[in-house]
Amino acid sequence: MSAESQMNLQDRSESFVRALLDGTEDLEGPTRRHRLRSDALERLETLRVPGAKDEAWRFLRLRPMLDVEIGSTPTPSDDEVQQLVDAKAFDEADGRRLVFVNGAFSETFSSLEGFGDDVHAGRIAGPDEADLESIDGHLGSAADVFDEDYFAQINQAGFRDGGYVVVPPDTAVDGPVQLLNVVTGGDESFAVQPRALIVAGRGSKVSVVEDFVGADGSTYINNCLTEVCVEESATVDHVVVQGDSDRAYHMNRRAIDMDDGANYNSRTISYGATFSRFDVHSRGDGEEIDCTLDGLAILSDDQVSDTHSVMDHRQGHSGSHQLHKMIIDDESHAVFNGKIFVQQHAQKIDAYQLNRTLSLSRQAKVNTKPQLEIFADDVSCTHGATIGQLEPEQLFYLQARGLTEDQARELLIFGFAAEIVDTIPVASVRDRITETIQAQTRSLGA
Amino acid sequence: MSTDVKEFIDKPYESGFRTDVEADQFPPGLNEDVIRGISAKKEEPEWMLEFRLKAYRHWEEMEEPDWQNVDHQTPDFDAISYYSAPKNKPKKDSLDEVDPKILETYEKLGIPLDEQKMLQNVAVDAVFDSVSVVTTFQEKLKEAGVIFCSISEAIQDHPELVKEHIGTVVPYTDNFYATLNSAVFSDGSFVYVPEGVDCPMELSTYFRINAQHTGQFERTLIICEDDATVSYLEGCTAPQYDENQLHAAVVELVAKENSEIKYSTVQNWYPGDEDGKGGIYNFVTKRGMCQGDNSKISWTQVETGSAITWKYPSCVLKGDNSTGEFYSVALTNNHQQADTGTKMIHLGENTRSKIISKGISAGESQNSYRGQVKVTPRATNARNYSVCDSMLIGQECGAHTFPYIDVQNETAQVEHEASTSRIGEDQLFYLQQRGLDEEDAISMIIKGFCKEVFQELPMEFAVEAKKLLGIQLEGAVG
Repeated sequence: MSAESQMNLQDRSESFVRALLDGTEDLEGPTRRHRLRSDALERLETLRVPGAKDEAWRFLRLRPMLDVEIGSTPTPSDDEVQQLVDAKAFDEADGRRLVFVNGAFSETFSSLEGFGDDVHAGRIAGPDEADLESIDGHLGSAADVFDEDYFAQINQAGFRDGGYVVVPPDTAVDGPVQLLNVVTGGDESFAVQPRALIVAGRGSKVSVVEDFVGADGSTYINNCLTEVCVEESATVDHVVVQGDSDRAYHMNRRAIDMDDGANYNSRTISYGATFSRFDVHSRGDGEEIDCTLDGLAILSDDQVSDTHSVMDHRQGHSGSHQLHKMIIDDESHAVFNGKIFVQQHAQKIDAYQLNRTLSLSRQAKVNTKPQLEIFADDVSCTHGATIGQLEPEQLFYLQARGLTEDQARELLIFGFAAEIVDTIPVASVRDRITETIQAQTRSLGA
Repeated sequence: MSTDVKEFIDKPYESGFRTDVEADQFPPGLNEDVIRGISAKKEEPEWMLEFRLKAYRHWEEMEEPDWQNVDHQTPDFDAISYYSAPKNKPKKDSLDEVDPKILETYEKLGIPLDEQKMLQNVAVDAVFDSVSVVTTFQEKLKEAGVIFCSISEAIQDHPELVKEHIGTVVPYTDNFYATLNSAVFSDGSFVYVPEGVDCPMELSTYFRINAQHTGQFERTLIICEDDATVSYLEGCTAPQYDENQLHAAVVELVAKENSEIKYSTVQNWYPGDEDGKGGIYNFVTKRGMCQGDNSKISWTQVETGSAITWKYPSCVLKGDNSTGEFYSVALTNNHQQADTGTKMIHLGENTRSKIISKGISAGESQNSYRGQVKVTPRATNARNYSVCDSMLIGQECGAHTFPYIDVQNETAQVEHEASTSRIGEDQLFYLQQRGLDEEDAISMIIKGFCKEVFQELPMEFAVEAKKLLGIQLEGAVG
């Protein structure tokens, strides 16, 4: 690499950081966030925006995102927000909904009255920020796996607000919690940095739906970071739905910490944004954990979606499951890299990983790398990857049963997606996503 | 020596390089003069020297890659002597002079006494005259029109064939060690099978005169013309001891229309002692080009030796309907490290590839499978099927899988599956209950695990390879 392009990379890294952190100087102060911010700023001194030479980023071109002119974050009208909220809010979460509009907590649209007295939930940067003892020791702790991650550190340094749900031991939250991130704005492009923290205390149970929605046509960078701590014998169901604006850039980091007997169950559905990148890191530092990291990405036009996941089994007697599916059409590009680590002495691990891609277009591209790194011998780990298209025999079979070719195609594509969608534990979210995907499949492969 | 050549050698000496023309070894170190020296020693034509020099100049600009999953010290390239003439090893009078430990290994492998003698450079009796065996082979090959000789001879006798093909599959710019090899390669094999000829016998380095001293930078080139077939065996199961730590070989295969090349390797270089001291670095670039339509290249390898094995025998499937296959058993024990696998690059239509990789790690070794299946936009109806299974024996070893799958054509069908497991206690119990002792039971399970690969090996090789795995794993289980 020539000195000049290195300079450019450095310049670009710095100017991107500056742009995303512009106007966050007021975050200096004696808050929890201040500590995270100063640590992150220090790390950002040496971190560079990843490029094609970095193994984990080599299939992506970040240039278009780095070139986005970042202006000030707009304040949309309530009507505009209402529309987006209405589309995504679901009944089960009434009373347990935290809504963030362009990164800022919205009193108007949120409803917190449904949480039991002992459950702590709300905004991180509220007026009572200094008294939020429940998040002490948790905020920023699972995220240490992203200490070397450029985008995660930008979030650490510049998030203005965020949602937290802390469930005390032996408590089950009555119904699902919704973290709804709405982004919408005018003609100027901008950046938002959502942040979320989910803590499930010993023996507790909670179900969280994290929604990202944006108004089509808005250009923005959504640089999110979510931390999940699943303590001893606790259970967390987590659904992440990425339905950002068709011109958005979605960067999503998620760190999960699991203690003995923890159970973390997640489904990540991604269909929005022109560009999305998910980094999921699950640290299983306890025995008898059970972790599910399933995912579905549906891409068309020139969308790009990349999922990098790490399942790190550090102790024995545990299991993990990952089924990641991708449907690619037009000139879209899907990337998957799933790593499973089984550390030394973490015996009796049963890890399963499968990546399946359905390719509907000759111009679509897929790069997949299911990766195993095993340092213990008494384990059973399997992984697999398949890439294929719709089987002519199956299409013929359905047509012979009276379906039109389009109907047959839709049915098969939807069936491929349904394996993931059907496992979403919250009924109305499942229905909503089913509808969204059906609408998508109608236009896919045509 | 012709005066031209003499002048040629003399020229570079001006810049300070001095060597005795009669000396059979160059002093350690690498520079352009050394390259010229090697080329002159071998009396190579100008174009060959140019090739070497281009490679060397490129190599100087390169850095050793560090992405591989092995831990080693970069060899000191200035401490290596890049040319040594084949030396006559001291002849031994009988096998009694050979280290009994080595003989024990031969015994277990079932290597015939005469071969043992040959391997240990013991004077052989008249019954097994290696030279006459070789001569018979050579004559038979000549009849069929097959050229099988050292690459140095080929450069002299068939320059047009070498010039046309060398560097076409593995260009001199390819990678750090291939580039180094292109600059300094010592010797290696050359095979040319003319159009329509099925090579009448399995070719083996083993039966090529002077094949035993090809040195550390081996270069092999196999060309199979239209409608021809050849099967080539490299290495042997007998343990190979060598004072050179670094081995950076290059193998190029060219398969033209309807032709088929089968390349089998058994690698059993010195792996270092039980504490991981010493041992060979085996950094090899092997690649086959399915140039013609309907051609086929099949790699089979059994890798049990070397401190570090780092190689990816690959197939470029350029011709329509061409096929690439890769069968591999990689066994690591003690402190051995292996990062091996394959690349299948689908360029032509209806191309097919198959990958069967079996990794066994024991002791404190690290065994990685790294592979790439790439389907380019033009490769309509490409098919790939990959299986890579790992077996771990013991708690200190590691098994890693890095399969890269890159698809740019919707008609591709790519399947990859992998599993990691250990020898099941119930399997062991079952076999022991049937009267087998533990060692035999383990050996049987491992043979079963590797069966799909062994059945691809030529028969004699397969028998020996099975025994070899048993020996390598001795004491690892239990």
